[in-house]
Amino acid sequence: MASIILKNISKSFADNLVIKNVDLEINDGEFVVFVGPSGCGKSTLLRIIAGLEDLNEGNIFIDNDNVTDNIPYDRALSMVFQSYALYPHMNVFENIGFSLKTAGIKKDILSKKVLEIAKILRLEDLLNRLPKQLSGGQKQRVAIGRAIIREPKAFLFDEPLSNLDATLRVEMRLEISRLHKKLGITSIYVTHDQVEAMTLADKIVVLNEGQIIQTGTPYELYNYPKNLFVAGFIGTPKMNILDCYQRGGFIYLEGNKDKKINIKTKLMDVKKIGFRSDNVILSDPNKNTLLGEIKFCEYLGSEQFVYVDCDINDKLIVIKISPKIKVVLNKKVGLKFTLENIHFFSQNGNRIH
Amino acid sequence: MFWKYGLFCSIFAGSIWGAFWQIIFTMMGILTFGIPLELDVNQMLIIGLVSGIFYINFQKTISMKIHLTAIVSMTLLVYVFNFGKPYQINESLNNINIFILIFLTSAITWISINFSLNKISIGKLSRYDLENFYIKLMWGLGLIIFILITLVPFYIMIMTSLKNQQSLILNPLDFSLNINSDFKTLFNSYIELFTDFNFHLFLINSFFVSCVTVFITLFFSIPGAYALARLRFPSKKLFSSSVILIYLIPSIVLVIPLYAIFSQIGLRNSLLALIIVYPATTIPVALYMLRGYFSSLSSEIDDAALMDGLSRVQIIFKIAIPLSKPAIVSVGLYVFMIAWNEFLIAFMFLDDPSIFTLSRGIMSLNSSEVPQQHLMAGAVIATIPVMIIFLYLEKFLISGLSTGGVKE
Repeated sequence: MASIILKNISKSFADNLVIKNVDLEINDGEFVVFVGPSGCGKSTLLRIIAGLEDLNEGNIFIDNDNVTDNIPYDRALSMVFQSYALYPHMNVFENIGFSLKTAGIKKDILSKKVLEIAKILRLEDLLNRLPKQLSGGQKQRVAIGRAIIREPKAFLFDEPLSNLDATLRVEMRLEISRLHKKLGITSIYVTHDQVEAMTLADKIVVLNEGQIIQTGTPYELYNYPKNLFVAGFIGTPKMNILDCYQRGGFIYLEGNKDKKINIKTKLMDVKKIGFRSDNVILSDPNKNTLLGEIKFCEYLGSEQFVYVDCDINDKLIVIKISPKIKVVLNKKVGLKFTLENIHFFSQNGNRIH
Repeated sequence: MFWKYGLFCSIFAGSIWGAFWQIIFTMMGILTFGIPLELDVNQMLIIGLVSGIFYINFQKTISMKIHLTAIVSMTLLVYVFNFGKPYQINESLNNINIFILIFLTSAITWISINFSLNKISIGKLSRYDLENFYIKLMWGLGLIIFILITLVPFYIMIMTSLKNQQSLILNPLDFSLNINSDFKTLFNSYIELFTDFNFHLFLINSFFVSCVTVFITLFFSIPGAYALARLRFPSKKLFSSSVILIYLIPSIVLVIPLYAIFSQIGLRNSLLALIIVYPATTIPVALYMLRGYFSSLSSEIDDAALMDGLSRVQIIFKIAIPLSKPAIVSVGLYVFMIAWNEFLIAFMFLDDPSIFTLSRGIMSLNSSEVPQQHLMAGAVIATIPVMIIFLYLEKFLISGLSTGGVKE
């Protein structure tokens, strides 16, 4: 168990700067999720922490020890890979026990420990199988077992669930969560799936183009996104973002015809507003609403989303409604906003408080 | 289009198989009987054509009896066409052999027609049947031609090596085997090669040089290929692309300066010279092949091993080598064959008969004093070990050992 501190980390491949001056503090026992679009540098950052990539600048501290120049093994971290990365020529037992064998642990202690781990991960019956004889979920459990057995200072997960199918993913997500509760070991988890990020994390780190955009709890990120990027990235469906301008304290939407919505604010320089799909109320068209037409409908069983065309730069607004409502396409509807759920952004995309 | 109809297919396949087997069997007749037979392609072409049409019309009702009747009537037709004297052969020659030859030609032609026209109807064919027919026909022809051009020279080589000087001079075309002769006369050439011509030494020399070459090549190319596949270092790209450049220089160009250099440092007439030069030519290609295989392995496995505390050298031994066994075996085999068959450098460098390699040794037989069958026996001796090793190691060449550890 350990705290991990990154100080001013930079990394470039050839001339391409992929990590730009990243500072981050991870507390002991915390479950931190790196999230961001593909190519944002989140995996590279994880590999830098692991020691699998050198860095050009900066320092890494684990438990206040500077480990910047240490080889991966000496950092006492363990990693779970996207492709599982099991050793194909070794069976499950050998795979899990490999790091202990390398460290020269006695055989009887080793096998006792492997059996212990296998029990936690429900792998007892599979110990003699080769990786190719396992299913995806089993492989990933073996990979986790291999990571646990070393009793590392921290776990690093590199998109461990992205190769699994949807149901198994949910199952394994719970399993990882359960393990973290049980072992309480600091964990860093990289994913591009923001549902995984929201459900697992104590702290989410949103990355884009090699920089940390925002760090916070899932609650903070969802409700107080620092800028348009975070606002657009966290939450499904995406937050509705519309261009606007202010006149006499009221917000007007930019569009073919300037549209007034019934929102008044004292904030200055509001150029964009954002609101989530469940923060708009669908009503019959009347004076205090934004007029629009329902264009599409996605029925998901427990909820449904309608896409409303309000004639604003061809943008469709997504609204979540009760699945019981019978949706008629091309029907004229009104959109009602509530002030407390609107996010205001300035010209450069930052949140205005 | 006429070629889309089953009838055309039957004519096409029938005549091609007829003509094809006529050529092959006439050749085989010449090689086994040792008599110059006259080749007449047309007769069998026509007989095959007729058989094809016959088969496609009656294939649904065909039985064992009809098969036999067809083959016998094809044989008889050959006799009818030639007025009872196929191959224009005098009565004095063995007619039974000729009959067997013609019967075999007919039978194989008939079987081939069966094979390629199976389930083909007489009318317009569906695209699937049509493709199937042409693919099967080409596949069959290609396979047989390929087998023949590989086996015939080998057959001639072995048969010649088992003959004696007298019968070779008497009829050089006769490749039949005299079964009545005893072991010692049959294998006379081999016995002489091993007793009088030091072939046991050549065999040991060749084996020694080839094995050492394989060992040195793998010793350098495995770590080298691993580094090229996995590590980042300056000028890696230049290095990896220039490795293969040595193959742009023909060895005949290299051998003369090498001759000069090795003569000056006094290594020329020695096996050590070969052990230095052979790996130099095989390492680049081994490096190239192994690099491709190592790159195809998931680098995450290496990362996992690094996390588990292995050094890069340990990764090569504990991860990379076990996972690429099939590739390493095939590269080793390839290098062995290059070293075993290498002639030019051995020919230039070696003067002392006690250190000849096999190819150099066979070359030394090529004089007017040594009978030709000895040369052939030498060639057989040079070929057999490689064949045995290849057949033995073939089971290691299965790929797919690395499947399962990572998600593809």
